Amino acid sequence: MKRFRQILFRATLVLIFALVVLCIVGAFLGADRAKLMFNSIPMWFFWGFWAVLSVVGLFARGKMWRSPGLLMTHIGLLLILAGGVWGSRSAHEWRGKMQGGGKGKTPEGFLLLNPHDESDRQSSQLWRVPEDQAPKPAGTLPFDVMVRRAWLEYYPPESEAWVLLGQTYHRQGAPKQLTPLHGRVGFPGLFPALDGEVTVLGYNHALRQIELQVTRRGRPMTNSIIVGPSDEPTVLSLADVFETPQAWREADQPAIVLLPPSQAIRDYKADLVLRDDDGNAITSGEIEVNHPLHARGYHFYLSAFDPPLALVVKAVSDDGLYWVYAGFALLMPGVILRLWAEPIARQMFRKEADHAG
Amino acid sequence: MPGNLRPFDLLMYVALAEFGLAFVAFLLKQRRLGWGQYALAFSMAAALVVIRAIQVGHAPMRNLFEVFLLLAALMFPLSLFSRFVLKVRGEMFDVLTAAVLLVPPAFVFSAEPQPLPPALQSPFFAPHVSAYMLAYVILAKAAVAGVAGRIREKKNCGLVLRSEAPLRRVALRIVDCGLKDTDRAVYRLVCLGFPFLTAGLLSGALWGKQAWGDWWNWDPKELWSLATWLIYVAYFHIRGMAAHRRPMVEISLVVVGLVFIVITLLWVNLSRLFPGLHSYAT
Repeated sequence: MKRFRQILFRATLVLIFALVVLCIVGAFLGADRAKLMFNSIPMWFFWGFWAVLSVVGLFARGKMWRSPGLLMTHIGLLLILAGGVWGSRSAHEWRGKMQGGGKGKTPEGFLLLNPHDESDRQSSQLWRVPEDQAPKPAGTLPFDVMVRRAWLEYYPPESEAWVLLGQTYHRQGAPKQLTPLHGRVGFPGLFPALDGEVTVLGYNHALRQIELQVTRRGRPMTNSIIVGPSDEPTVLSLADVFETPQAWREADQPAIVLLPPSQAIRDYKADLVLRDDDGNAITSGEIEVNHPLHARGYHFYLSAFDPPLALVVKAVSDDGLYWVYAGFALLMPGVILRLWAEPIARQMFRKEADHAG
Repeated sequence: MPGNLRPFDLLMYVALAEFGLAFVAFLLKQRRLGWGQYALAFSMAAALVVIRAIQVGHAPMRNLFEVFLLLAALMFPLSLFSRFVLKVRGEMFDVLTAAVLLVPPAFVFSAEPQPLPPALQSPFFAPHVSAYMLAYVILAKAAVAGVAGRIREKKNCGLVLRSEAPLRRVALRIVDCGLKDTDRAVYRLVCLGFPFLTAGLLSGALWGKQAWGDWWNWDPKELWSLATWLIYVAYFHIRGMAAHRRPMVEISLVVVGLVFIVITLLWVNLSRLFPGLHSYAT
């Protein structure tokens, strides 16, 4: 038995070092190729051998059953491995075949959606492919996903006010003329070409929006105009506040150039609704980075959003995930028990025994 | 103030100088003076961390500048804990480590405050990074203690061996030169640091699931972190297997662990060889 235990120990050590080497190789390969490598068929034998050794080790090593920490650590690692295998692409495909073609869950896929679009088709690519190519399908969800709204939130800007300029073109194609306007809230800026004023009514820095009031010949022409968000200067034509397009052209085509201050993106957010085949809402909620939505065995993530392009929602199957979490829940306390609590307890009992002696 | 030297930078340079002075004091066996300088340097480093946190408005762990500042500040509490709880000394090397850790923020890394990108706005951010930082300083101390102890004991051992008879030399090689004290010190430190390393790895996996959709993404930083974790698993495994008969192998593993930590912390973040999900941590 002692010899067997030694072989077991040595084999485990070899596996540990082999995994170290594979991790280093994987790091140089990059995430995508490393994922392929660790999910390849030879690696299935590796993981299988690892699992077998761990199970045999549980029974072959008596010490394991005397140390709750060691036992929890080993069982925890086994659960993580089991959960990882159960949640893998190959295991999903295998379960799909067992249930009958096409009925299985897709391990993960991307939905490319515009606001108010509804789709159940997952693609394997993160970004839109060129127009002439169809996205590579990854699978179909058992319900539709709709994006009600998607928006960006920003950090406060470095300077409070936007820069506003009144822009006009001379009819003969001469260069444009720029007139500085007030960027401060509530201060009307005179714009001679408009024969009126432009006033900033307010800013919403979180959404990077500006609200303007345009007045022509003493009369407010609109309730308000909300512009944003944009990283680039925005040109807002004032054609609509003129009586006729001809009047606007004769006034040298006045427009407002809006230069937003630099603002870092704080968050990407979207409102999702999941509907069944009959159109009934299964669930709905707001998703953002670090806050996915969970429904019917899938987690939904806001994977990318680059307005005005489509929003990319990632749907990930939760198969095997709770095994992994159970493994974490055993591994962490197991390590603490083994390395901190058990030695302290041993020391305390030894002291008590010394006192008793 | 000369040039555009800010009070923050000045305090950092003074803290660095204080760590240097503390090292010299320990080197000259002026322990009391050394501890005094060390405590003063720590209070400055801790003040730098607090000021930085107020400046940026979040836990100061966003980039390597903030991380190294924090690592330097962690050394003094670690020295106290090691000395009084673990009964492991080595303050001179701790203070040198703290000084070395403070050099990159003082002279290399950009101090430009950066807002937290969406992925870092998570309840896991501070616990995940702090667990790793604690693990890194503790395990670095373990490696330094191992190497320093090995050198010291080899020296002492050499002196003993010259005065002993040949047969007794063999026994001494096993008993006295068996690196018992060093082995014990290294083991205690690894036992302290490994749960933090595990906490960092697991909290990272939980956070990865929340932010990116997978608890494991095969990202280069994740793979180097796992390799580091496995090195310490191998350390415990060898200890269990060899029943304390191979302290040199164990110490070597702890040193390899430190090399992996340096790679994970610096090379993976700074090199373009390893693009991945953790690329914001520069």
